[in-house]
Formats: sequence, C-alpha cells, structure tokens
Amino acid sequence: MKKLIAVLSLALAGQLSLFAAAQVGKPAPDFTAKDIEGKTHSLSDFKGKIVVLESYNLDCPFVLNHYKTGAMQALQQEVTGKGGVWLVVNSTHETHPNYRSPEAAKKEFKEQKMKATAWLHDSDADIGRKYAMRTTPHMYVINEEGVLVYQGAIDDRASASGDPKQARNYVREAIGKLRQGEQVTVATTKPYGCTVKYAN
Amino acid sequence: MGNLRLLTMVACLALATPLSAAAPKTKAHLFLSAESARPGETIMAAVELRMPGNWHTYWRNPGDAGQPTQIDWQLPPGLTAGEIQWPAPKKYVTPPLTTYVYHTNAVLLVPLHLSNDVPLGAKEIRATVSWMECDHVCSLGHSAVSARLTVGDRSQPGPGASLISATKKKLPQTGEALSARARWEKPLDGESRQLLIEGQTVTPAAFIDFYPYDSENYEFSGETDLLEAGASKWALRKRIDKLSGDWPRQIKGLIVAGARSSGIAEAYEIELALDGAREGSTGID
Repeated sequence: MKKLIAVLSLALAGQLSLFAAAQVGKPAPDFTAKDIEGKTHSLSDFKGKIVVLESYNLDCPFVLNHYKTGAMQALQQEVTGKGGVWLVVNSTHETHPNYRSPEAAKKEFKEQKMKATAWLHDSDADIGRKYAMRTTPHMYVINEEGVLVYQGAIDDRASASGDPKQARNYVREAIGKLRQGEQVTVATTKPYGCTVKYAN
Repeated sequence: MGNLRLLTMVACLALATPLSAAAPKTKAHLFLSAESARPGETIMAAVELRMPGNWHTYWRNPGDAGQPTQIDWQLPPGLTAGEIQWPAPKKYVTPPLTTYVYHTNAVLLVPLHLSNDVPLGAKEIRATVSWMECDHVCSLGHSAVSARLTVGDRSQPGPGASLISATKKKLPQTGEALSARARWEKPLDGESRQLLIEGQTVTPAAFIDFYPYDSENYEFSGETDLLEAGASKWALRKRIDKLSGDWPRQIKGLIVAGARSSGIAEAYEIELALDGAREGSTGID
C-alpha cells in the first residue's frame, strides 16, 4: 500500500511521465492515428507482424542524414519487404516551422522514396507521449505478440553527417534476432537527435 | 538514360536538403593565449562560438537531444591538442526534454602542447569546428578557423590572452570543497533508481543542481528534486535509468549553484564513488 502511494505520488509529480508509458518487455501501448492519405491505423491491427516506429522530422539534421544517404529507406525496405510494418510518426506540432501539412507530407514521402508502410500524423502528440518519444530519430521495435522489444537510438553513431551504413544499427539487429526467434540483446539505448518538436 | 536518372535523383536530393545550404547562424573564432612560445611550453587555444538570438549550441553532454561541439585540429608537427575544457552550460528545459546548452556565447578552451623538439618558426594553427545549432529548428554548422603562432626563444601573450584568462576564471572548479557524497536511495524498480547527492555549502545559494557528464549505459533524468539548500548543507535527488549493463559505480558531472536557475554563479566538477553495498537493498512494502 505504501509502495502504491509512493508510486502514485511520483506519477503525480510528473516524475514518471516520461518513462511510465512504453516499456521494453511490456505490451506496447495501443494507439489509433490517421496517416497522410487519411487512412486510420491502430497498432492492434498489426498483431502477428513486426512493427517499427520511427519518430520523424526531416528538418532535423540527424534524420536528414539517414534519408539523404538512403540508409533509412534501405532499412525500411528490409522491414516492409519481408512482411513487417514500418510507421513513420511525425509528432511535430502544427505551430512549429517544421510541421508538414498532409499535402507537404505526401510530397515528401514520395521525394524521399520512403519505403514505410505509413506516415502517421501525430501533431497532437498522442503517440509521442505514449512512447515518450524524445528525439528524431527515436526508434521502437515491437514483436509479433505486440511486446516492445527495443527502444532507443537507431544506431551507435550519434552524428548528423557521414555514412550511417558504417554504424552498428540497433533496429536491424533487433529485427534480425526476432526473425531468428532469438532474444533481443541490446533492448534499450539512449536515443540521439533533435528534440521532438512538441508544443511548448 | 541511367545517368540522366541518377542526375535527376541527385538534383532532387539537393533540392530536398535546404538545410545544408543555409549559412550557419553561429560564428566561430580561434584565439591563442600566446603570440610566440618556446618548445616544451603549453599554450591555450580558445574557440569562441557566438550565437545570435535564441540560437544555442551544446555542452559535452547535450542531454536528451543535440550534439556536442567538436573541434578537429590540423596542427603542425610537434604540437598536440588536449581535451576541451567546457564552461558550465545552461540547463534548457522544454518539457518533457532537457538539454544542456550555451546561448549567446561559449568559449571552449583547449591546451596545445609544444614538444621539446618542435621545429622553430611561424606556424598556422588550424581547426575545423563543427556544431549543432538550434533555435526552434536545428541545423548543423561548421567553420574552418585559424591563428598564427611563432615558435622561438621567447614567450609573448597573444590576442586571446585576456579572453582566455577571463574564461579560465569561470571554468568549473574542483569540487573538493563541497565534500560531496552520493548514495542510492531504495530502488524504484528494476531499471530505475534514485540517487541522493549531498554536500556542504560553500557559498549559500538558493539554487543547486547536478549536470551529469554523458554516459553510455545509464542516463540521468532531466528533473532534479532539490531537497535542501541550507547555509551549511545541500542535498538533491536525481533519477537514473539503466539502459544496459551494470549500475554505475561512480558518477561524474557538475554541481552548479546560484541565486536562481537562470543565474548560475558557480560550478564544481565532482566525481563520486557509489556505495555498491546498497545495490542489493530493496524497497519495503
């Protein structure tokens, strides 16, 4: 009981707000969001498939580098080309200069030759908060049973320039383990990048 | 045809990357403590970054986002550069994220050592400074900087001497006077713990905080609970989340103190051992 009160008071104090939501090893929080084509997706629709979430903002130099080198699209292709799901999550608030209207987003999706399943609109930060998305890119891997098995950086190279293909890619590694029926060994890392452009 | 397609692709990529083309907002300059120096001496270099408006660059531990400024030296034979000496940053809270940044101006000091057998004569000291700068939006900047140094039989102060001595005075001091200690409180859960850091007050301050250095296997929460900031003692609580591996055996960072969060007057570097015996202790229901 004491413990419960302690936990509750911490939660109220906002201490746990950032981490209480999505936890590695626990079921990934469900969400429902519209993509840029107007189609609605829920995480629960994808049970039985590996799902990757990518917090996204192309105006962030870290994200841009993963796209302009083609590294991100190649990884997306590896996932979606083999029956997996890749959801690009854009939590940039409407008032922020980096915000993309659905039209601008559609154009960007095409121009960047993205191989993602969908680009989700999250300017109300529903997914962002549920997953405590901190940076762009902040990556999440969810297994076929809907359990979060990886969250953190995309790779071990926290740089906004150079070739990401030279890096140790944690998302690729986690998916490789899942596909071989093995335990994901590196399950949490510190995400790097730009802050997610939430409303402030 | 293949070439044309490739060209189109390259052109599209170029159009889609307006950031790389924009001129950086931050300006970088290099100053040296000495105009001339003798073999065997160590002089000081200062890289000064000037950021307009709300633009900011990042500390050695950028926090939840960002990237530390980097200096890549291109030094003549016989000269070697030491580590960057970082001034205390400002804690920049944009809920739910916390970063450690510099606004307006940051001077990064780097010792340059001249070997005993460094060739004599006029030298060009060059470096490429790269940084991430953010306002509401973020971009990367880099700049080539250079300064002149004569190696000979005498030492003479250089154009950076006064800036460097003023900057040195503001660098974090050794934290010994604080008699700081750190210990675990009871664990929150498997991957999250609370750490109590306490010490003796050197100068009374209403605001005291801990800015951790970066770490791979664990991270500190941005929030700090200031428990006590009395005339003789201060105490604060931080949460540490473990990412992988073992819990840290020691922590390193800055204790900063001032009249208020925006007015940091003092900074002390501390490196504290953590009591491993408490690691096994559990919470009581």
